[in-house]
Amino acid sequence: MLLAAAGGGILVGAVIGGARRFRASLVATRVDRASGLSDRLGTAYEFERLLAADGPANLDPETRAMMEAAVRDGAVAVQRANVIAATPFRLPTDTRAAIAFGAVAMVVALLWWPHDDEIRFLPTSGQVTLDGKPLPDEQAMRGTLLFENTFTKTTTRIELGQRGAFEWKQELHRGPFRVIYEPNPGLCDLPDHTMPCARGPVIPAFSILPHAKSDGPNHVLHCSESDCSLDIDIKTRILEDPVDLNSDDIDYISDLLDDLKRTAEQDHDQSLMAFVKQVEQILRKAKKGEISKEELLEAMRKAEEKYQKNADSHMEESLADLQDMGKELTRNPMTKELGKSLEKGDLEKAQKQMEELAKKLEKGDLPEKQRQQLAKALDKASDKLQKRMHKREQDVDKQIHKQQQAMKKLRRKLDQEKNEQKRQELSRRLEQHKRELQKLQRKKEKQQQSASQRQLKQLQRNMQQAAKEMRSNDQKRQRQASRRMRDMARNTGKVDSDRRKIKTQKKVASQLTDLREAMRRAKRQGSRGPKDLFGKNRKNRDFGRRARGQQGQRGAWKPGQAGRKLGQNGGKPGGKGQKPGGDQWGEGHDPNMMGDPTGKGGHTKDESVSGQQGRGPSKRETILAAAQKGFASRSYQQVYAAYKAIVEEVMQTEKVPSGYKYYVKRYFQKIKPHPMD
Amino acid sequence: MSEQNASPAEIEALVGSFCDDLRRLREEMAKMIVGQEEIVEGVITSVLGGGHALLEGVPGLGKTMLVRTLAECVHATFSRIQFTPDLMPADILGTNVIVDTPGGGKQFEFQRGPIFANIVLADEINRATPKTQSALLEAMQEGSVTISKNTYQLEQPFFVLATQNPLEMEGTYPLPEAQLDRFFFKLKVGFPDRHTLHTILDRTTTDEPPVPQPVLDKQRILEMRQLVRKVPLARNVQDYAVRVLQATHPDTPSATEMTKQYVRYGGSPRGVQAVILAAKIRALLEGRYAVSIDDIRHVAPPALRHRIILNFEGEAEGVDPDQIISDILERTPEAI
Repeated sequence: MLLAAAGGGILVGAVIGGARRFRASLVATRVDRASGLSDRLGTAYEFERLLAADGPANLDPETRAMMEAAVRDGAVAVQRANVIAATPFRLPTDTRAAIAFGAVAMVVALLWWPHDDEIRFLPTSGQVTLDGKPLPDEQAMRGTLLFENTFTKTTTRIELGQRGAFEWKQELHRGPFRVIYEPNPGLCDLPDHTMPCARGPVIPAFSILPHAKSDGPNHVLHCSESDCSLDIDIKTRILEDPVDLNSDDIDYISDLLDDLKRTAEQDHDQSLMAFVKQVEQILRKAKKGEISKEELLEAMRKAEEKYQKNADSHMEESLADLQDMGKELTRNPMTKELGKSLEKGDLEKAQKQMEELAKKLEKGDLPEKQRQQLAKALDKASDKLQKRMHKREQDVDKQIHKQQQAMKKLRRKLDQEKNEQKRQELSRRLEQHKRELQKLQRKKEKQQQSASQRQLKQLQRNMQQAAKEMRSNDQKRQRQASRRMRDMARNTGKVDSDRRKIKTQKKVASQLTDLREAMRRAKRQGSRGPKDLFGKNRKNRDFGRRARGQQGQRGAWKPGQAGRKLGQNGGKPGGKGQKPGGDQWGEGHDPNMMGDPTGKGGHTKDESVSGQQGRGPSKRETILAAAQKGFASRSYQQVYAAYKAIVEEVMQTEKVPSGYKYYVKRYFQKIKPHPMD
Repeated sequence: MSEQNASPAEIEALVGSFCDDLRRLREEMAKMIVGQEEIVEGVITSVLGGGHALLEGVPGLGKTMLVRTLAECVHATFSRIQFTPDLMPADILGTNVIVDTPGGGKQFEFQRGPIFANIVLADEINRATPKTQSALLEAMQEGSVTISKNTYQLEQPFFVLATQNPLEMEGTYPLPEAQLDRFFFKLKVGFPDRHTLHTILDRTTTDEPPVPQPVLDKQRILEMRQLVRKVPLARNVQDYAVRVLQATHPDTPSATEMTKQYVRYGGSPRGVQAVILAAKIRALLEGRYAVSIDDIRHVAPPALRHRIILNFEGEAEGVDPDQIISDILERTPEAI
């Protein structure tokens, strides 16, 4: 009955569809297209209607005549019209599904009854029970699986790891975690059922959701007749959406980290080195898929925050204080050199000089007179430093006090004022002063928290104490004075180190931005990238291979190749073609460092610019040769260095959108020269 | 033609004679130009459409030969202007020079420049400075030259074939988009295949190279241009052309995915005018009295490729506007 009803419905639908009316012009177009009549019928139909309605009055005679000719032409073309081709019969889109359903229904209707030994126990996925806590890196796999009996439709619960009726084979793969169930022919008693053994092929594997990545080698457990070992320690960390870094991303980030490492080594910046190590750790986790994108970005943010911590905004003031102190110290012959170092800002040297003085003091190498002179110099310098720092604090305090007084005055006026407009004005001014006051208070707070200022305060105290103690002839006190001097050296060293850190932070600001951007661009696993419309991924891979000095693919894209073989006669009229290059590289310089005027076609070219004999290839030739043959030549390294030096500047001046800066930098990373073997 | 309706026989004769004349022109040109049928057809279409053409191709492919042959076949005056960076507008348009008068005095006399020809070959137009380019382009647009308040009309038919060398990047001044839009067609001249090369060598390295004969005159060209404009087209065909043009604009609903991704600006109304005129010419060439959608499809690439401005991504990816046009033609429905 149901079947008949369904068939009847289809028939009714077909009749209704067949009775639909279509516009004549549409029919004419369809017939034209199907019959290859170049729109003769459609055109004739439209012109016929226009002419019958007496057409537009401003039609000139020739045009009218042509329209009539087109109508006649259309009439003749009707004989060639292939209406059947214009209305092909097409099966409904879901015909296959319908046929499949019909077949299945027939099978069911024909009362297929499984034999006892064909009953399957199929695992139902998604029923795995794991402990709901966040998973540690290593754990034993536990859980429960439900098996459905295909015949009785009952389910049986089986614990993972359970020995007994059904033994397990577990395969761990990278990617979705798979469990393969294979019945052990010898043991077939289920806890709830007593059925003959299930025989036949292995039941297909099913996935345990969510997907897990396995870090270990593939474990295939081979069961003996009676026993399988089922407790497996696997390193899994089940992630909903691990981050997916491709090899390009990893290379780029590694390059950036190498740059940062080099900077850290050059500048002896320990905190930058620590930051790099942290990021490397994060990168390792990302490569293994043990971290999601959100966690990646959060970890990066924390690492960067830690690195940027204690960025001292009062460094300039502190350096100015030291310079001033140095000026004072130059007045005394004992501390003249130390003073000069401090004046010049060479804190490293100043630190060494302090330590030398401390050493001399300790050994007792300074005669009495010199000691006294030294003490005098340190006293004066300490005084001056103290006064300077004190004055700065006092200035801020004075300003704070001034603001507070002004606010008090304004409040009094506000209380007394009756006029609404004036009250508003006074309130506004009061708010302004309040903001100023807050600013000053924050400034004072920062001053007090400033690491460099704290160091200077300690330096001043140590200097004062050292001066006091070295005046005495007591050896013990002189040793104490020496210790104070060493403390002074340490204080100076800390200021120096902070200064280097700030300098380095400024230096690497751009690279940190690039690193952040690179991490931000990392995809989630499974997310699709952009469509590769023009095979650009293939081109990029080939480019990458040639860039590493390997051969590109035959027939792969090369600059200038646009489906044609271009002549080698050079671009300029009268060009004589390529001359052999020399050993030395050219002295010529392409003034178009900022880029040539952009051509319209988007094609690159195999151009040979003729150079003079013996002078070697020009920059342009070097670059093109490198693009085709690889970036390992020495001359290319020099050319690259010249261009790389101006990349940053150009990107600022040319107003390249920030999204595209990333691509520009990736580009330069890809064409970076590699050392020759 | 009389003011009354032309009879069917008259119309048939008109169209027939149009086709015959064009066939003879093509045959005559084929004596000198081997292969390159599409380019020849494109150039002739530009002439009959009343527009100008831009050829892009490497040196040595016969561009000058083609235009010179066309001039000889049409019995029109021809001049060639080689554009160089030091070329000045006066070198193209002409200038006033001082001459002696019979009475012993002196006066200014206008010496016409090479632009005063029916067919002008502007070779390597992108090597000249923008100032010089604009002098030519203004003449192309206005059909006249104004110097020192005097306006000199250019004799019709006036046709400019400009060439661009795709290899020249250094020291060139690419035509800005607004100027490119003034060209009716942009034709890409490809390198000849092996068979064609053999034929070229056979013809040009023997004793007697062929000499083309004039088959049309200037008046006939003008008449043919007029006839082209009389070819009717059905509304649905015109609508298709309009939809194709609209699909070149990324901010229209009918824009394709490629257009949205790679195009900054699409074709202008001049573009669709060129498409329609060229389609009319093609319809006549095939002996039809009305334009079909296939005609539109055929002429759209040369008419629109130089009017589609790519965005940064399109330039960076090296997208060819022809690909975008093909995509549009494929996806734009013929009837809605």
